[in-house]
Amino acid sequence: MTSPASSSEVKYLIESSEGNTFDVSGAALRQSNTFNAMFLNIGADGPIPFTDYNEATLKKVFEYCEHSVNEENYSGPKHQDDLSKWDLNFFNEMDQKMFIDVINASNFLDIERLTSYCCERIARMLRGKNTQEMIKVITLPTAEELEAKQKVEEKKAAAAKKVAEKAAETAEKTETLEELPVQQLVQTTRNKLTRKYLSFSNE
Amino acid sequence: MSRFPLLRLPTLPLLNCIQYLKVFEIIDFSLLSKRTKALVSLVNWNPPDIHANFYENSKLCLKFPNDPGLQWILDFRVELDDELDHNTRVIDGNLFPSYINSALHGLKVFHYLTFPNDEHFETMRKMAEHVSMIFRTPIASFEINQQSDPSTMSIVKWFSTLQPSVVDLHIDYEVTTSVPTLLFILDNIIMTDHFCFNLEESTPDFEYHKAINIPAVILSHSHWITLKSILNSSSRVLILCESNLTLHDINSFLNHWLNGSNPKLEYISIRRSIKRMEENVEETFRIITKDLEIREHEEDGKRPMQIVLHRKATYQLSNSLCYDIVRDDGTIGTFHQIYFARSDDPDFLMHYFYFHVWNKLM
Repeated sequence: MTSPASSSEVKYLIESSEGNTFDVSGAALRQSNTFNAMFLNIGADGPIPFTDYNEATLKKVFEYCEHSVNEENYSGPKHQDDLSKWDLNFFNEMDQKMFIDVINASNFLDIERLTSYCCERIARMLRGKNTQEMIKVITLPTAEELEAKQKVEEKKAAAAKKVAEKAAETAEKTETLEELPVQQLVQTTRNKLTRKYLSFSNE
Repeated sequence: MSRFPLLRLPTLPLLNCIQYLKVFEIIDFSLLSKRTKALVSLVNWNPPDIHANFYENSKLCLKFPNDPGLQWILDFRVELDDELDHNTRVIDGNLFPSYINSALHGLKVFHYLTFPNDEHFETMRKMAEHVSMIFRTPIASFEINQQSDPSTMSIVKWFSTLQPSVVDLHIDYEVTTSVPTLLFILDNIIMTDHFCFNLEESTPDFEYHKAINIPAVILSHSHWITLKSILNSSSRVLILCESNLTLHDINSFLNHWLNGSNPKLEYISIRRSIKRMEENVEETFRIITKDLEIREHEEDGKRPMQIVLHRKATYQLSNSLCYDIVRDDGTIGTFHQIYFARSDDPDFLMHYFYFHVWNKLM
């Protein structure tokens, strides 16, 4: 974390998936509820790792945050028609891949305003369309993809079951080991008594 | 432009996207696949009031509490309007012609998504199940109009598998119903507000003695309801037309009420059809009030003059020629009776008996 001159000028270092770091103002970063929950009160030593997202995506997300620093507190989504020219340019210059990356990052960082605008933009793709027309706009998983997904889920479930069984087995073994000295003790006592009895009867 | 991989988004933004859609778009989206249906049902909806009306041109009406001036109506029509642009919609893999149009009535807006209706309401039933599931809310109000007895039975059987209770059930009219259908309804569907049944029971000798635990019961042909059934019932409002109750039954009812029966009752009206020469007002009054301590009702402004029949209707009470009986706890029962000539049969009279329960402390 860079040292601040005043609280509004605090700069934070952000680390991307490539390992690159760049500065983001505290004011911009505070639009992220995730950041607020994780670092605001305790501070951060060194760069904040948002390493699930690449530099371009994070820069795009924080570009939006820096821009909306002076906007009023978020009070629900604006209609797309009410977006400013800057907002429209911001969205229009993204390709589909970047747009999806931005939604994912914004969702993780919990930046309400940006996530809402992105979602409303997606909803507009479906606006006024029936089932047939929606299919032309969005990708639905094919039967093969669904089957593959189901297989993955089944594998995951089987693996989880195995882990659970192993855990149960280990727990059982531990139990047996813990019980062993007691059992041994009982057996030893029993043997001694038997021997005593036998020796007594022999006498 | 390449298609958008919407379903690959994380769940929260995905649900957020769905919330921005309008009702018909939400329904269309939910019809795309099992996954989209499941996703739509995850959204935290402000649950709509769903009204289903089975009729020649059936309707499923959705009203959202945050938009009281808007109604979204899935309209199932025998004949589609050829002048409107038809689109094809897919429901459970079957293609249906459909169109959307809107109408403005005063300050209210009605949006229609119209499909063809079929003889057994298959599409309507599927959509009722679907809509109820995606908005995670049961059908509140349920109406069957002008159906044959087998059709009514088929609809109520289907409905009872869909949900155990409904706020109000309204069955109308000009057709008869069989005892099995009537009993099926009473035994299998819990009605939490009112039951309005305007069918003639096809077995005239049938009598019903069990309690009816529906807050408001409105029957256009109630000859099957016995005094025993009324005395056992926990209803708040009973409107019984074409009743077979006798004047002695009414007297017996009043005596039982004085002794604490029907504690929830607020209003009962009984309409009987009798031969002109069989009764006269004085004799009727004498029988009805036998062994009762009655007093002429004095209007002092304390008696509420309107009662809520059910959540959709109120009724203005009359205060002409009323008499009071008073229970030990101070609850007052105000009654009056009136005869009308029957316009359709000059040999018959209509006898109306009204009984209103109230309390000065109310």
